[in-house]
Amino acid sequence: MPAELRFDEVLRVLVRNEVEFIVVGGIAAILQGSPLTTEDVDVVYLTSEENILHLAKALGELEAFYLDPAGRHIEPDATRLASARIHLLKTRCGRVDVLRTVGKGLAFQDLVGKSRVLEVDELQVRVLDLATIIETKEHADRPKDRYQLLFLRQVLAEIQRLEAE
Amino acid sequence: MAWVPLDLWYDFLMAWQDDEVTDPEIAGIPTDYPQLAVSETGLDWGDVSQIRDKLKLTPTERLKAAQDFMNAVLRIRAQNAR
Repeated sequence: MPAELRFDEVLRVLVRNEVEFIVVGGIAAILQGSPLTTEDVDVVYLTSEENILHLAKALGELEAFYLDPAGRHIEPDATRLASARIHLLKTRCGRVDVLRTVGKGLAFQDLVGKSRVLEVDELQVRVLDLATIIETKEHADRPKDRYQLLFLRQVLAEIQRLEAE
Repeated sequence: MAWVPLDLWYDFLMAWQDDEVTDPEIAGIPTDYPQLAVSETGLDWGDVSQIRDKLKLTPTERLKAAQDFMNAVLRIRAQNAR
């Protein structure tokens, strides 16, 4: 367990290494007004050869290694990032889930048109829009998703109300 | 300790009215469970006001608030584990 979670530092390292990524999941919802909390940063990455090299470098800076039930210390490298679909990682800044797809198999290219760029800590960060986060939660349909949906739908309704005013 | 079924406890809370209390200084503030109107999405007034407060912040401020909150939780967890 790191001394403290640094969501901002995870984003900073990814941006500094020119990784093409979209923030999804809890942090994406928080950035758009969700009051729910999370302990990890979830991102979907572009699976081009160049981007995977950038991502591998960024994850190296974050001292990432796989969350392994057997407790082994295995680091994500370009080969693994190019093959496996889900990478649940521990880093010096906390948990980071690095994903090739979310929801109904939606990849970076499918999600980029459903995302928006937000300024976070003077960084330009691409974030999955709230309506699509809701769709991914509806698709996952686990008990924790159903609970989160109560809040996410209300956040969306509040944003729409503010935009209409 | 007496065991109270959760649904009975909730019914008790919902039936508990303090409408007879009239304090003009807190007029308009929900002070009883029936006054916490449930939103269309199933949340109560407290939850909705929390969301409205978050929406007043910038994305940077929202991220920092979430990060600070989780770090406080982790510190308390670590202290309790000692």
